[in-house]
Amino acid sequence: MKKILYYIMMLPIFLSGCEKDLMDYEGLEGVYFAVQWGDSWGSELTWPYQPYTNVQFIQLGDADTATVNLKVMVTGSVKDYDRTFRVEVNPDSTTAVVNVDYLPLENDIVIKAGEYMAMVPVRLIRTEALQHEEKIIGLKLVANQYFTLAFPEWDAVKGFNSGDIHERFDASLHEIRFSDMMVRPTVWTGTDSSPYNDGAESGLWGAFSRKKLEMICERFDLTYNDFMSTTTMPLVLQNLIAKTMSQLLIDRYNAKDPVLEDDGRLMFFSGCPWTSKIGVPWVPDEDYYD
Amino acid sequence: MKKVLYILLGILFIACYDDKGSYDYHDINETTIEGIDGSYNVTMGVTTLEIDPKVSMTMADPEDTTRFQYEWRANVAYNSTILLGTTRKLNYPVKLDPRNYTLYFRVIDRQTDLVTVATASLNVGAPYSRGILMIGENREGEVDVQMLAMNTDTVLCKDILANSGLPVLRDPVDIIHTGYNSTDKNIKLWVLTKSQAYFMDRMTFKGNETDVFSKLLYLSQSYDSDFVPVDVIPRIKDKAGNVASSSDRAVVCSNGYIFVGSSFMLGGDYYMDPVNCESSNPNVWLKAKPYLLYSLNKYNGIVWYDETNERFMRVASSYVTSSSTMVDVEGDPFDWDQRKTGRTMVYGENTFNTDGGSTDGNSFALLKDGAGEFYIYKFYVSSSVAKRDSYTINRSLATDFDKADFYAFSSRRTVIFYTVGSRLYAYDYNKGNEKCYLLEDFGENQITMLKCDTQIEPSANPIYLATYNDTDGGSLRKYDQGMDPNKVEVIPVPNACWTGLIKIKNMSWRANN
Repeated sequence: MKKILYYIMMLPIFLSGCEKDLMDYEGLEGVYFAVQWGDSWGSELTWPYQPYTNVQFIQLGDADTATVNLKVMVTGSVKDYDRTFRVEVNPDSTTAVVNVDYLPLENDIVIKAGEYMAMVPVRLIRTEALQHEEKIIGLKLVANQYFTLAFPEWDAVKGFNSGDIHERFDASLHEIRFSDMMVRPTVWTGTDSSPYNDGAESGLWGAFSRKKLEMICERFDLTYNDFMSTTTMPLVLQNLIAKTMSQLLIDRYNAKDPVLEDDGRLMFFSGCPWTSKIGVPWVPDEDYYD
Repeated sequence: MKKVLYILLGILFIACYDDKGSYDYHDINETTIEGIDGSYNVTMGVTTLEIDPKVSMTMADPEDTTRFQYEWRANVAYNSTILLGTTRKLNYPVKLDPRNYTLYFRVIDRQTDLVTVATASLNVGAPYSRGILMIGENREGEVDVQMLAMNTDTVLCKDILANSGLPVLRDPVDIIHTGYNSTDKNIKLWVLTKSQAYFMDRMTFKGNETDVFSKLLYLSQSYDSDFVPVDVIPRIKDKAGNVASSSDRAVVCSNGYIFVGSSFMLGGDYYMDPVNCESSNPNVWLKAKPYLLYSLNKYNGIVWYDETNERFMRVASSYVTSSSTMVDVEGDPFDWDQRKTGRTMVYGENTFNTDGGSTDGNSFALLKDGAGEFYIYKFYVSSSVAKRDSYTINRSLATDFDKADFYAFSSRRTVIFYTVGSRLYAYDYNKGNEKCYLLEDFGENQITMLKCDTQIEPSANPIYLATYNDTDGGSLRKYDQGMDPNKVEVIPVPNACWTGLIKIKNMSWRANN
């Protein structure tokens, strides 16, 4: 009888040979910046992880402030209680000034129970200075009682390649680079200097300038973002802009109120009977203002 | 004791033993399907798909519908499945959108859950891809479209507009397929009415109230009236569906505005601001007569008539943004500027007439003065516009010419056909040999349309004439032009009279999708 009991007791041991052994995560619980961006056609499934984020106020319409939410993720198992991680401004990489270029940072962010990520909100302020220079806010994650720094040496992840890939960086650091400078948009159908036209502006819209783009936006009720793809700036609209703006410039010229670029040259669109060279101011004919 | 152990061990190892035992097998009903072809080619809205498959069963009656369930489906892989029928014999008036499907016939045995399947290719074609499009009114006076589809046999497709999804429309104007274009999205199928013009889905002929001309416009300013096209050129110029230019297009609207566009320059079938203005006064709009005059065979811009100032104007290409006047020289057969003559344009037409070396086709304008006299101007809209000749209609010969409902210029002879009520006339304007002919009187039938064909058989230039009476409805007749130089006659073409039609207002050719 004892032997029977022995075999019955051994039964689970016999059967346990069929069970697969799944290992639990045993690494450190840490935090890291998991900020992804890249090509417009991609998504978080394909965008590479990035050590910085660009913010162009010009693409945000008339907004005076902008809130950037930076994604921070945790390693280790999900917990059934709230945990806090710490983020601070990194003075080594920061050129922006608190309360001038950004609002004070919220340093302690909660990862809620059952969650594995949280956002760090950074509130940027649009200042006049941003039209001429770029500002940087550097952020760093700081270890605390809940989290270590998960990836001080982050290696690019295979398969996440729809965008600029940074092979290695410190994922406990992240920079926000922001400005309000109007750079030449994606769709600008013109050239600064044509070798076929003695170096003068050419193409439908000639050389890019902030003044010219703002005139177009005002005339056609457009925004900077409308110039960022051919969906919002199709070829027919590009032609209409050239036709309309050139007529507007001609009318202003004939009304003795010519539109000049900042360097003093006549503004140019295709259809204008004059040529303009960057850096060469317009010299009116002697009798122009008579 | 040992027995107990053996039982326990048996229990332990039995779980690891693959079951290779033997069982009792029973015959079940087996189903075979025959009589389904490998592929079926049908036409949407025209064909009724009829298939009578032979279903054989080893142990059951195929007609036992309590046990057997039948299913016919048209499937597009990874996309859709459409149930066509649930009986063994399929009788399905094809309403599927034109495309290729896999046809599934499934026999489901509810008793055994066994499913037997037969498949075939099902190719659904568009009925509207090739043939004569006709727009007119049904008996209720509503706009409808019919088509003499000529894919293989000539088939009359009815109620096309009624099933298009568009609201009920009134006052038909024209129906236009814009012809071949290497860019599919630039090909349009226009339904024009007085109140609005719509471009339709070319495959299904479905319409959407938002698919109107203004959707194609990019304007620098607002205008106080709606733009409703009354003509879109260039028109199809041959049976294959070719046009004078695949990148240039011009549109004249009912409010007298003209738009020109180059899909090459504008990236598609789009238009910028109207061009019925002069460059010196770009915001002063000149009202155009609803005729765009150009060479049917080769596009070199257009000539149009400025109703505001009684003169012909020129738009030399699709790249210009305004119209220009044309120069008159002493001794010309006529003047572009008509203010001195007191004449105004009443009709215009483009032809394949080559008089004067106009290899790409002369255009004709019919003008009328305050005294009721009519004049024909013939000119060539080539890279430079050339006046060819002018003619005065002899009113004493041309019976009721001023009462005509429709005019049509022959491409082949110095003849203008015209209709008054039920009568068809021809007037030969050959100088010194002017004659008028009453060619036919259709009695109770009112003539509702007259065309000299420049699309299907441009060389032969046959006449298409539509009539209508309340009892029999509409009809369409085709006539060949007689070429006896001593007389003008028209010869009915055998088997080219179609009856039971709408009250035809206009027609045009469609060569392909």
